[in-house]
Amino acid sequence: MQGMQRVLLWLSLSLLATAASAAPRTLDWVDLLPETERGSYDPAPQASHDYLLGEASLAAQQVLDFSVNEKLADQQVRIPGFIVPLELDDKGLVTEFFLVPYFGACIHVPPPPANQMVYVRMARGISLDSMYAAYWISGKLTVEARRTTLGAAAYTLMGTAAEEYKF
Amino acid sequence: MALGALAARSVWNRRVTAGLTVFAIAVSVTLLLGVQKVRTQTRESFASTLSGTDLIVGARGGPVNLLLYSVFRVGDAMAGVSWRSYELVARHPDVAWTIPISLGDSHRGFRVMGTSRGYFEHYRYGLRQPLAFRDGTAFDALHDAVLGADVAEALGYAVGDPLTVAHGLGEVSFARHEEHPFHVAGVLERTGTPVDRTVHVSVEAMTAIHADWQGGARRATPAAVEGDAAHDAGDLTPDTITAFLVGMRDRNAVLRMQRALNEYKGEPLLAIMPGVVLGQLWQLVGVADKALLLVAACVVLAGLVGMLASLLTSLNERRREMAILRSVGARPAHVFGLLVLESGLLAAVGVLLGFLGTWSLLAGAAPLLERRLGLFIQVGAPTALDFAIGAGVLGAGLLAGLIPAWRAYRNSLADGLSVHL
Repeated sequence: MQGMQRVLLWLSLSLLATAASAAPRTLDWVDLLPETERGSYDPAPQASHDYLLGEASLAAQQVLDFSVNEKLADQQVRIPGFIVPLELDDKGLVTEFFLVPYFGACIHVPPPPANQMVYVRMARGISLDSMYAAYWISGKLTVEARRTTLGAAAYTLMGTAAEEYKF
Repeated sequence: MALGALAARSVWNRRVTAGLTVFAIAVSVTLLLGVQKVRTQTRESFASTLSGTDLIVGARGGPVNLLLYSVFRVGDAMAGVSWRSYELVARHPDVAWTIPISLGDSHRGFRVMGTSRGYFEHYRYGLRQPLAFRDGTAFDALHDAVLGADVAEALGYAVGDPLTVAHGLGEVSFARHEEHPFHVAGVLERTGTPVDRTVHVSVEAMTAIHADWQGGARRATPAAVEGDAAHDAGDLTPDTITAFLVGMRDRNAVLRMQRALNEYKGEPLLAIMPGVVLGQLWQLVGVADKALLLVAACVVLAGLVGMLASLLTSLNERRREMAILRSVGARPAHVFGLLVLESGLLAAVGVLLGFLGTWSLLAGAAPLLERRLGLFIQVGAPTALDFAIGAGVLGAGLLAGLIPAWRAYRNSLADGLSVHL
């Protein structure tokens, strides 16, 4: 009973806070796909071998990978995911990374498609020690306009806050 | 007389036991600060060595091993990468730059690294700082060498000086490449990274000095490939290199390139993202250094308990002292304050000596760590965390002092002026 009351109190408080400060929109990874594609989402297998040797088979894939949800452009969002560090500062804090929906997106499995990866630049770095934890990252999401590069993250996030994800 | 001075004099009267207590606290604080410092400095040293590099590519093996030998010059490579694979990546349209790394030789204990001129343009450390020349320029001719700051300083070399490269990695070698004398073309600014301890030559020079080597020893008659003429003719392209660094035109393509290299059928390659592998390394080392930190904290606790024990046992001996103090007008509260001050004083001196000990130890050990492990420990001023540790120990010391103080307070109330010993 007490727990219930506490939850209700917390809910109403957080609702109040939301109303007051226009809190970032909490996203799920499926939100990053265009609405038309969600039902039939089927990323094409990525032929990595061809990527190194030539680019013959990549033209078709490129289009699919870059289909994005334009409605998210320039919005304040909050999204959970795992960190694949790209750049460390001189104190060993991660300042640039890919946010991906599952852990281990580094060696053993093909990387997630472009519209299931977010390129994040943090205003303040995150400790590398907690790389294996999931994080909520908040900030402003931009949708990349360039569509010339191969296999890229379609979204960029200017991260302002990171918070460990609690299960 | 002020209570503080009284406490100090009382401690001085028992200087041997007090000294031992202070020593125990000082040692424990040194240990705690030292472990903490080495732990954070190691991380910063590793993290600031490489910046702006997207991938490190080497022969297939352990990712941590590849990171350690290619960038930190710790350990050795098991196998190399073919020049053909290197060219394949270097020419890829998504790749902005590549830096070849060829290791295996040394000069008087400093590792010699074969690389390209691109190294001086594209290599970044710290917060994307490029390498800068203190003196001279990058290598131009085949037998030009560029020295890291430590190499130049330790061996007293300046631009124009000759040097001989030795085969193998020991400080002493009996197989020198004497037929290929090098000249110092440039000296780099200090970076605080393993670059400072490296002698850089071109990969072509590495090929040239090993051209006469067959079956692990030098041939008696020199082969025809020699000198800058052959270099210009392009005859000295290496067959293999140890590893190479890759910078992508667009960082977004990193995962794609990494996957492609790890799946490459032409040669068993391993491509790693330095940040990811550094994270794995910390994960590995993290358990050990957390355990060390815990042990150090326990030693501090033991030191404080030791102080508590010695204060408590001294209380009985000091009943007369307290009685005399009471007779000259000290209140029980004064007695209480005296003992808290006393333990605070012991802890404070202990912490102070602990700081001194840590700093002198680190200053002494830093060159050794740099030489043996490639770790760059910057001693620097105490950080907020160091002060917090010091304050914590001092606070704990004062807190521990409350126990004997309370006992003494009770005793002095019960004993009054007449002590029945």
